[in-house]
Amino acid sequence: MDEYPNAEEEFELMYGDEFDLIRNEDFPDEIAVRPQIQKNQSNEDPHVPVHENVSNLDCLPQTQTPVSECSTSKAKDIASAVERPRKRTVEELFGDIDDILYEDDITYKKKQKNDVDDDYALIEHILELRRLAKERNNPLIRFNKDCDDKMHYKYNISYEVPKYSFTTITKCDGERIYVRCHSEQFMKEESSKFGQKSNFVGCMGETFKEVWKDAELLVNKQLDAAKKNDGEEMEIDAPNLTCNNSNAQLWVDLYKPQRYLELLSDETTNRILLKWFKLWDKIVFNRLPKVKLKGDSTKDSFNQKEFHMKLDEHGRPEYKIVLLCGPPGLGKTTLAHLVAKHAGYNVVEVNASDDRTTESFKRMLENATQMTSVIDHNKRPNCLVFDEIDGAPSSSIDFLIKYVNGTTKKKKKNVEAPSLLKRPIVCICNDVYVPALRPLRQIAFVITFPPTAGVRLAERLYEIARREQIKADIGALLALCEKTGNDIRSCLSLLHFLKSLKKPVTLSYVNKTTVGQKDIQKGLFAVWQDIFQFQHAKHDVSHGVTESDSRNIFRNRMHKILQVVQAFGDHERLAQGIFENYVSLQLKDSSLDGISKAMEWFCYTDMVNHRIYSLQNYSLSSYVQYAFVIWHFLFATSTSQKLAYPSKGYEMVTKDFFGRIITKTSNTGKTETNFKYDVWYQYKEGYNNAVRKRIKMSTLK
Amino acid sequence: MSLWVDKYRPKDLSKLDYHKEQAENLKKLTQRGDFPHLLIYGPSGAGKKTRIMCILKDLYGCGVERLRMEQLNFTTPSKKKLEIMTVSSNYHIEINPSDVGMYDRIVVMDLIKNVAQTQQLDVNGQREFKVIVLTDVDNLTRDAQHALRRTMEKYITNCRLILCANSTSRLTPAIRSRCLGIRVPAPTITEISSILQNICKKEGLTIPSEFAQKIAEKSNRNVRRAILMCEACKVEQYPFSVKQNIAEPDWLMFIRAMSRKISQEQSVNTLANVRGDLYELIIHGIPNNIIFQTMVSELVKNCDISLKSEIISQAAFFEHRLQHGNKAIFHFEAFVAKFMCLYKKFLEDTVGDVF
Repeated sequence: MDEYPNAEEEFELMYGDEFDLIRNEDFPDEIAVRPQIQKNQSNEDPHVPVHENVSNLDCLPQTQTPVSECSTSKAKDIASAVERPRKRTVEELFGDIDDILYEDDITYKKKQKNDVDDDYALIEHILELRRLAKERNNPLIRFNKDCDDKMHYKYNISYEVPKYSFTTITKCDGERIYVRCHSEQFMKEESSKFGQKSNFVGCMGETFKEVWKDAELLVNKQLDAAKKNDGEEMEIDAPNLTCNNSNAQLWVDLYKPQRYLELLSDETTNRILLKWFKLWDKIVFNRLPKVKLKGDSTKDSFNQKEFHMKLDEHGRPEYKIVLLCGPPGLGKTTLAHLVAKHAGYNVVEVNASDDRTTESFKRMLENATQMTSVIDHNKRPNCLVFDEIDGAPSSSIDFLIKYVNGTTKKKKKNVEAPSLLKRPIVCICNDVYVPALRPLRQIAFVITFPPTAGVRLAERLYEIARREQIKADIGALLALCEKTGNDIRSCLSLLHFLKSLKKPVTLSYVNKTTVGQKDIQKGLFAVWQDIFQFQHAKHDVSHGVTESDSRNIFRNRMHKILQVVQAFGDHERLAQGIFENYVSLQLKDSSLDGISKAMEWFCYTDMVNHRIYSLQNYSLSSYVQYAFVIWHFLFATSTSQKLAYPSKGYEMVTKDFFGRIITKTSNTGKTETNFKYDVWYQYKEGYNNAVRKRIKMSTLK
Repeated sequence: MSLWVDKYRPKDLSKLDYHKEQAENLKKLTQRGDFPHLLIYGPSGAGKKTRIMCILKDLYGCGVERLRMEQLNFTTPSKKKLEIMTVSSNYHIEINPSDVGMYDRIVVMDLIKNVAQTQQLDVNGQREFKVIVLTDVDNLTRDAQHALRRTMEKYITNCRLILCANSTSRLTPAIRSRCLGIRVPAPTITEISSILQNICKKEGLTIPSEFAQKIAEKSNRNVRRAILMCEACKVEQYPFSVKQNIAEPDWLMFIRAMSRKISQEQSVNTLANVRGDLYELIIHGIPNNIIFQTMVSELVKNCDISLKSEIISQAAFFEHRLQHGNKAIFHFEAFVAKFMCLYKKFLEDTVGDVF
């Protein structure tokens, strides 16, 4: 056993082992004849093993005796193999089936490896090539090869004390056999591989599949049980963890996706970002083979339609910067890091906690884009990720833009361009409409994050909860997702919190108002929508329930409106929007009672606002929001309303300023009105514009 | 070429057409060469501004008639840039602080103080003080009035203030007590008609006295409006005929049409419609109280007496609130909605009684 098989071979050998164990196929007597059978008729008669299988089902047991029986016969076989003189030539071998050769090789080597080392290497190489070619033509061969049980006996059973981990089996006559033990992981991989391979039909047909399915079920069950005990993970590639170390790390980091496939964010978004990263391949890894580039360029032309992604004259993508935007907790940062890593970059992150003055910004940019890490042995190119860029000073953002654009200008002027941007830059922000970001928005490729799918998030949470041994049902988790607005971070924080309290996640707990609520500022239109529309679900619940319940619903509605309005803050604009939109609603208020009441509240807010602004007494503003509750109850319907942005009021204000001085016809420009000014000025007081239309200036002159 | 109103504006105290006795008194006041702060108040179109200019001319001579317009800029503490137009001569400056809305306090503090602090450079000038004319004083915010109070006392050696207001009711007692109040009542209808006839004579036109009387009546005792209407009539049709249609101010007709709409149909649609009209009125600078007054008087016309009192009290309520608020449109619409609500209820009740 000096020539230990390499990993790949072992893999296949072990696979055969598995296969046999599960199929109970290994019939001792058969094995000796096997090579010949396979040589001649493996392709023609694939059903032979099945028959054997059936016939030998009863003798294939989990108890030790039959195994040892098998082993004995195996041992004999091995012995015979060893005794058989090795006389084959290369020519002969070419006509042979490789598995026989493998068997022979090994035994042969054991005894005479010094003699034919060189020859053997050649043979092995050729055979390997042939085997591969054959496999390509006919996968069944490989299958059969894998089925071959001989090798794994060789490698898994021994009469001497082997190098690998083993268990001993003592036969009734006192003879001792060593059987190899494999790690669970190995087994798992083997079995999964086996599952894949068993996909092709023809060898065993349906019966085999069924058997395999049953076996897999059994194995999974055992694996699950095992997992529960030792906390070892299998399906999700999250880092191994035990319950003890879970407190040391935030769960957000702990259960961060480690692979592209595990990303929870919207798939199209992920793909777009990844494609953009791939566009940099040409300039960043220009050692990439031509084929790859070709593929890229074709992808490029395809992308042109979709994302307008093409390469500029330097082979860089048209958009040098990607701007990811979306509310917190969607996984923007995670996505950027993961995709960058996936595309082969070393991520350099700059976030709000770093110094972001123009100076340090410049340093960072230059460092990251023009240098590579010396210590990092991977020598991966850098990729800059500017997190939370909406908080950066605008001068820094301007510099960033200049760096991206201005350098290209320099390139045109001078032949030498040391500062040409050659690394991808990703910017992440929550609010893309921050004034400082406006110039960036124009040159960047803006990707707006859609919300995470609630079901996927809930599934992941369920998985995590299971692993953390928190009692949770999927319904409660779904409710939690909905409540947090599919914010992964806050969901995980809540789970972590519950874990530390050792409480189960229940629907009633999630529905409590204090849980998982964030202070989110909604958009203007969303707030208006909230005011003009009440939720259907709540409406349905109110059918046929007791009075206290319906009172509860009203209270909830009030709380919701108060919260939304308070979070938004700009009461005046909100009120203006309601004022201008309510007339276009189809209100069923024939007596106009409600409207006059609502109008009184408009007066009220106006008075309070006036007070606030004239006295700078902002403590009053907390009273304004109650008007929104009144309006909500007066105007809200169950159907969604089409709302318009209130522009009339603003127009009115601008006109008002000029309208007093300037005639209506000339409210467009200040300059032309100046000559009329002196005339109008004098009639300003009192009935200032009273005579506007009747007397025309031109007719008087 | 200018409007008749400007052309035939009396330039001298002695040439005033009415309130002759008051003119005498004013003359005596200026003859002494010095006078206290003045507060001239009265309805619009009564001749307040005319009298102010006469006083100034009496004080400084013809120099005050050479007017120039200046745009003054200043910044608020919150760095907002504001500009205000002033009309000034060498001897006086005329400002309307309420032009800048709620920032009028800054106008008072900055501009007026600046003017008041600078001494007259011209030693040969007849007077050692300048005159600041503030118009629309009743629109001053309370803050501005407080700021004004101190300025008035402090710089009395350098400047005199002439305040011009429609009514004293919105001035703080502190301001009122610092000024000599001069009320300029509106002229009588006969006075107006004689003025019109005079102007027409000077223009070389003939105007039937009945027609002049008619215009005077329509003008609501507002001389300026009467003269403008007369001029408008002349542009429309000359020679004048007694039956000639006298053009009323369009805003008046506008409000009338709006009021008709309101009493015809009470619904949300009308409300939306009326809102547009109200915006239009506000845009064109019709003062809020005028809108309210006209609207209420139009609305009340075809109401039952019991409803009338209710509506007028509501109007008073909303107009009062308007004074405390910022956005007039809310208050107007609130009143309209309230009116619709009351009116509809009343109609339903009476119809119900009939059946």
